[in-house]
Amino acid sequence: MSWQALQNIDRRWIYLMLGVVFIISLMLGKPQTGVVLPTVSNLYQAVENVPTDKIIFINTTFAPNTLAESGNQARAIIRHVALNHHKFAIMAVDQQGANLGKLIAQDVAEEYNLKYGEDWISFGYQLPVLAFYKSFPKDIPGTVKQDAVESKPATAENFPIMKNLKTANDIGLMVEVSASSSLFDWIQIVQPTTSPRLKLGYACTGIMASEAYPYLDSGQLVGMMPGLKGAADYEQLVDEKEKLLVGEGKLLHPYAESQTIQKLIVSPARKLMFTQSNAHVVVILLIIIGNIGFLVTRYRAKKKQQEAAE
Amino acid sequence: MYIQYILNTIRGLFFSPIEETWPFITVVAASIILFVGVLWLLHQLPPVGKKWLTIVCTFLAGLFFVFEYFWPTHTLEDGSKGNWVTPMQEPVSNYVTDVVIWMIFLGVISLTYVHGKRLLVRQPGWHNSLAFFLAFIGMTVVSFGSKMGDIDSGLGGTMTVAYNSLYSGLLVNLDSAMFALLAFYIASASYRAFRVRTVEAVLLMISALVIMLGLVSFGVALTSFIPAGSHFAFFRLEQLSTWLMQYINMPAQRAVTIGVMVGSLAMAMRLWLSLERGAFFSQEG
Amino acid sequence: MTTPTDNELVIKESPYWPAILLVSSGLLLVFCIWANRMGTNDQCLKLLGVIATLGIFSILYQENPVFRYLEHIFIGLATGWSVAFTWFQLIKPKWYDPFVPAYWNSANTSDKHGQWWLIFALLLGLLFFTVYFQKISWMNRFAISVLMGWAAGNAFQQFMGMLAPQIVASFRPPVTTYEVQGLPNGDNYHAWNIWLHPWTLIALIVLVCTFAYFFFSLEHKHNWVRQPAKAGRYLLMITLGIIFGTTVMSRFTLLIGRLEYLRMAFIDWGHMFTFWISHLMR
Repeated sequence: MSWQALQNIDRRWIYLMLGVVFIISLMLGKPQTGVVLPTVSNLYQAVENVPTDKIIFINTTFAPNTLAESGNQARAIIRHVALNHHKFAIMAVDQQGANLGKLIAQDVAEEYNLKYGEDWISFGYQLPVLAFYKSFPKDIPGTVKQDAVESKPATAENFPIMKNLKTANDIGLMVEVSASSSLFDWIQIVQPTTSPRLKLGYACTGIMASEAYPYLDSGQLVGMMPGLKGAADYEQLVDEKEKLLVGEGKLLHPYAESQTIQKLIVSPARKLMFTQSNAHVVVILLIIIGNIGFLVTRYRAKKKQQEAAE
Repeated sequence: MYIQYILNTIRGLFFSPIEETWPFITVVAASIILFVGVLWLLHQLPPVGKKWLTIVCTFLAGLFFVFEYFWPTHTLEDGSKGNWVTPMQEPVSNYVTDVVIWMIFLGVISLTYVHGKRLLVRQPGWHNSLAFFLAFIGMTVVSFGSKMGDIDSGLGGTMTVAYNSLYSGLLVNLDSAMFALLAFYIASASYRAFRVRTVEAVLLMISALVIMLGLVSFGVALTSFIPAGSHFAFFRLEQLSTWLMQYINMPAQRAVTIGVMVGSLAMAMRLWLSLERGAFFSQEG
Repeated sequence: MTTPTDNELVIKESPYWPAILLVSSGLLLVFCIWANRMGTNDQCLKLLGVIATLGIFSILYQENPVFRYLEHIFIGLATGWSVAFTWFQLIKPKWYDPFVPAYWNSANTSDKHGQWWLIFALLLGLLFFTVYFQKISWMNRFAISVLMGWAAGNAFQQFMGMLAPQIVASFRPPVTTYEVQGLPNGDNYHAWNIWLHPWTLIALIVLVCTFAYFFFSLEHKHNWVRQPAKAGRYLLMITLGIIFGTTVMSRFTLLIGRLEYLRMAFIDWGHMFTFWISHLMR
């Protein structure tokens, strides 16, 4: 194979190589332990610091195509919230996300024996129009109207959790698990109208992560989970906390050994990171190979030119 | 206070729901006739008149939010800060939503036109257009059918199962597979396009490599020989990638965001004041 | 394997492809619906999912009729779903239920009925459709520019909410002073110390240089504008590399999700196959 050919490998060989690496990695993958990102630690701490009388909102605004990232992020956050005995609410401005968030929450709730209506509630799909964002901080029950599981009006009579949920001041933290730019509606429209400022966390896909760093720095976001790496780091922190609780006898067994694991809609992020790691290595090797071919070819062409000039 | 009184009077006079059938039909029919009449009158305007009508209405539409933002505020009944325009925001934005929700059918009409033409003329690939229509009609029918009737038995049950097959079996998986193709394309594109021709390309490649390695366990293992607490720990890939994100990426993204927001505000001003010259203003109806 | 030439990529489609694709997909769908009604616990959904995924992935080898067919089915399904979604989530709760009197819409249990003024929302919405009629297409332009004016006014409100904290956070001093009073041994010691924050200084330099690069109101003639703009260009290249790295991570995760779905489906079928084989062999 000539140096020129190194630059022109048929794309189908590249696809095949990638596919084989992915499949073998998925078959052999084991849960990874890595260095936790500082933004993920900050989000974890923010959840830990929420007072027990406040509710945590988890907005699951994603579609099934980002289930590996966003589904794992949502599950990690919900597990953490459940372990801390915080009350939480599921909501989404995407219809598919509302359904997926509800399914994930139901799995976790079954595992940790959480009671619907008392420990958690699902408000389902909310239309992402200006009227929603304007009225939500002032009157949450009036804006969401009803829950998504039992289709009953969201009142304290129907759901005890609604007793202490009236305005945005009753929300301890809102985590936006999103594959779109829905977070910026909360930052632009809702956050400026709340006093004290509504605490926002962000669990995003990798592409949105670099865009969100300015908001972390300015304090508009309290923490961030970027992509599959963020989900795996958060899972690692939650697994460590779970291990402590199992050791102290406060929990029967880790989530990984639970019955609900059979119904998992997506494999754990820590396991999928093994595949991610190998995939990155393959791409880097391809880039290096391509550049070696390019540099050697360029050097030889220059040398030929010089010899011809002489 | 007087403004509120006037608004309440107008609300009471004109915006009262009508439950009785015949008064409702009469009022709706009169509204349609009035609307069509006004449109017909406006259609008689010369092109310059239509242009000025558009400019004035665009200005008034934008003025609502600008007014609400700049008018002095006081404490409202619910304890929040606002002015006399603030309570109108929610109903007005709800009304605008009611106006724009019909636009989905524009896309449906366009798709129907393109595929219908291909099907009727029997252009190559007509069977694909037929598949489009069958899928579109099938999905619409089962989506509506699954919400009506008993979902467990009979026609309602069959519709629900058909909806699940089309949605969970096909639509979700087709959508995910289309996105998954991007992974192959990005690998192939980065292999072909990433060439270290210039200084900028080298910088781009180095930062991309640092980030890609710093996020995964292989990269962490590569520089794990550097002790974590030492002065050189900065050069561990995971720390270097975090530093790049926080101190290079963050300010650059902030500068871009501020620039984009200022630019979009300037563009918003131009649109609001109809200073933008384009298809909407230069073409005469 | 050599890269196919343009001529080779033009597949000579068999005239039987339309019939094969339409009939086979129709039969498969009918079978899946029937099987699901009989209670096959989502196995048929998995079958449809695997066929759809592998059919889409077939484009990676070569352009082919199966991929085009599935692509059109996807567009049709997505359009049909959007129409149903728009009706049930938007039009019905926000327009139809409040508009129609209770006598005609007994299923509506909310307190909103007979809001006759919503007819104007429909009529204004219909103005968008005048684009198809040349003589009255000015009404479509009118409707769209009013909508854009409304959105532009909204931009004023959102501008400060989004941007003010960003501008405030930019003004972070790279040099701070701090006061030292007293020491552990109790001496009455007092001094001012200066602390340099190197990373904050770097962030400030990056911010200023990136601004300089995008600042077109001033000509980049003088060195005090040109040099920061040049530095900003290089810093932006680093940022683009960072964005590329995170994009690669994200795209690969999409593929990981899909391949994991395929893997779990085949494992599930493998278990079913071995169960039935062992059952039959008894």
